[in-house]
Amino acid sequence: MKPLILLALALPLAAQFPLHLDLSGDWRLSDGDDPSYSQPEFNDSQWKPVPLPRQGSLPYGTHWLRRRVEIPPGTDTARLVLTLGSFMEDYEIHLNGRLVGRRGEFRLSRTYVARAQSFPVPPGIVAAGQPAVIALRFWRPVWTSSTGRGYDDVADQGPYLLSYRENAPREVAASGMMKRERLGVTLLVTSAFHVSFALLLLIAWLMERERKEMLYLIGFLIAEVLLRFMSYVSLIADWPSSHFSNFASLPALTLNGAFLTLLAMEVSGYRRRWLQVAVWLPTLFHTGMNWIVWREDRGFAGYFAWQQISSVLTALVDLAAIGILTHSLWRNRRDGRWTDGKTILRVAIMLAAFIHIPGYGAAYSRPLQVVWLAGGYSWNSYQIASVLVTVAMTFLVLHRLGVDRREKMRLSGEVAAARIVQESQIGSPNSVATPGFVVEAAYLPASEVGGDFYFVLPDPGVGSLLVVVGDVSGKGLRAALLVGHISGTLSNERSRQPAEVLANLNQSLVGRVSGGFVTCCCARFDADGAVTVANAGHLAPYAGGREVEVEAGLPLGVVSGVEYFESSQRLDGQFMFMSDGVIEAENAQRELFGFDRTREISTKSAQEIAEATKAWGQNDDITVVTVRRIT
Amino acid sequence: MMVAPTKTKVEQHGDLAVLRFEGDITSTSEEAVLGKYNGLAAGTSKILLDFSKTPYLNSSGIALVIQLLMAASKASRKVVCFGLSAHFVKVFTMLGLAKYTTLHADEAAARAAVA
Repeated sequence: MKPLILLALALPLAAQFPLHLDLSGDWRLSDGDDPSYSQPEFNDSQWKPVPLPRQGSLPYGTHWLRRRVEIPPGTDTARLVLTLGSFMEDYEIHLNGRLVGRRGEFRLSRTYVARAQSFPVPPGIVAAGQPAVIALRFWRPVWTSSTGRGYDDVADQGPYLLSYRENAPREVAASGMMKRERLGVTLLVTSAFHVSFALLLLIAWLMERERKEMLYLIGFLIAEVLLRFMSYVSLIADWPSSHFSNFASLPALTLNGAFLTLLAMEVSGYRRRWLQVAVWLPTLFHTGMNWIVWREDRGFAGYFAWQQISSVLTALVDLAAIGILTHSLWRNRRDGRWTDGKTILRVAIMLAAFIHIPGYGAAYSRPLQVVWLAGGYSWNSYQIASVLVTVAMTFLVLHRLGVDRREKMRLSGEVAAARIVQESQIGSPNSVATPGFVVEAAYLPASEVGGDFYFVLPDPGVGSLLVVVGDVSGKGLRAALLVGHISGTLSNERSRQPAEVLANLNQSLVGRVSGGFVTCCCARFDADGAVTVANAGHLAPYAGGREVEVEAGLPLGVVSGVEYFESSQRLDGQFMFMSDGVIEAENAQRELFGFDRTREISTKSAQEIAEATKAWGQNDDITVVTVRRIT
Repeated sequence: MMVAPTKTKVEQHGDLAVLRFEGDITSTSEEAVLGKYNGLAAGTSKILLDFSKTPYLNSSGIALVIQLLMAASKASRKVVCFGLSAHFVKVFTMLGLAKYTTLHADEAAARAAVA
């Protein structure tokens, strides 16, 4: 009886000691999947031994890991907890043939990131002093990363342990979380950099909306942030997010490659429509692949082949960026400006593309990334390099914007000066003595300098007035320079015959208009009220509210040797000349101001006509000149 | 104001080519006007310019049409235009282009003019 009494006394005491059954070491790995593998009597001696915590990858598909364990005598089996390391994302735990716990549901949409977890052992499944068989049925879908541990840089460090619920597992879980949170901090820090730069660039783009390179860089940054956010969610929150993060982050990886290549094209000036479309192919390909996986919820055969095609497509897009920039640098090698902002920006984008290629591969093979611990935090070489290159790209794009804005301001100042010169050339009628006539003019250029012109050339000796009104096709400085040429030619013109003036002007313009032309109407107003008009493709003037019939003639500068013809009129009331900016003013409904409205207001003052036209919708230079006789 | 990009559909029927313009013709329409003209078959001797889907031509766009007419004139090709709005019929008339082209209300009249 004495030993029995001692045993009875010892059992409660034994149950009070901490239980710490180390389950690490060799387990047995099955080739396939069969329900009988859960049974304790199954003979697994032919199975391959594998160590846990595991060092390498476990096979794809559904397999089993088994291990036999001796439950010590006196163990309080009602308090048992089984703790497993982060060996796999989806698995079931069978203990002595009974399912006692699971992580994930063997479906992609319910797959969790692998991490250490404790499972309480229900009472009555194991017995103190008896052997027990732990069988882990796991599923490694082809969808997941090559390690089978999802977005998780924390290696499987165990523990594999059978203990009482009040000891080891909590510490292990806390330790695992701390590592993840530290990794999460670095993800948040790098994301904060990218978000800040994206906002900075967005503000800059709002100021200069034609700068597409800023939009492309913003796109690249957003794709990077998306990647990090997905990693963060997978790491910190124990959501069934592995599939979700794969679904979003793999296209994001292809997206930032697309944006980098677009940026390279924009910066180097190598814009090809087919390539602008082709850069999106990897994203489309991957999204389509994801859709199939998502629909099946199980992955599918041949997924690896698809992955490889997608990888090659993505790499090609990155290589295109590198190729474009290399070609651009080679083409500009003779500039000798290897340290200017444009060159450094191209090099920075190339570096980003270089980093991006291993970054893509790293989704499938972690060894391509270098991860190290510093200051208690986990740092990733890809993240660090990405941040450094992003800083450089953002700075250089903004620097380039600043340089261009300064240049634009300088050009704007020069154009403003050109406008002053042009205004002095075309001459205000108020500054010209026109005895016997009242001449009014309104001139509203569509841009800083215009292509419309008018000249009022009185001849006080005979009391006549020569009025020349015209329009150079196109706008801007090129048109303004032609106006300057016309001004110079007219100042040397001795003829007072409108047709001859036009013919001479035409000869001086042939070969100078670069594919454009100049329309021009020339009229001589005599002191007795006679008006002689010649026209070179210009809109006919109006007199007394009627359109004047003039002989049509070819515009100036098109072909040489053109003969122009004159028609005679009488100046009764007001003569009104205009440019096509009047009749072709267009409102929001795309309705032209037109000839009828022009005729209706042709007796009003020049300023009123010009203002009415502008109010309708100016889209070209507007010039109106009116001539009345003083009676 | 947004300018609709010009599209040009080219139809070649033996020695007759029809250039159907769609959208505004402006300074950005060089390829749509001169580019398409330059791409016509060498044996083309008659050209119809269809402006029925061209709501607007600015002076730069008209300059392109004039260049086309000049090039066709040098190559002894006959060019007729149709589908212009009344507004642009008037503008084309004022430009004195009668020596280089004729203007017609519709395609049937234009085809009859080159038959």
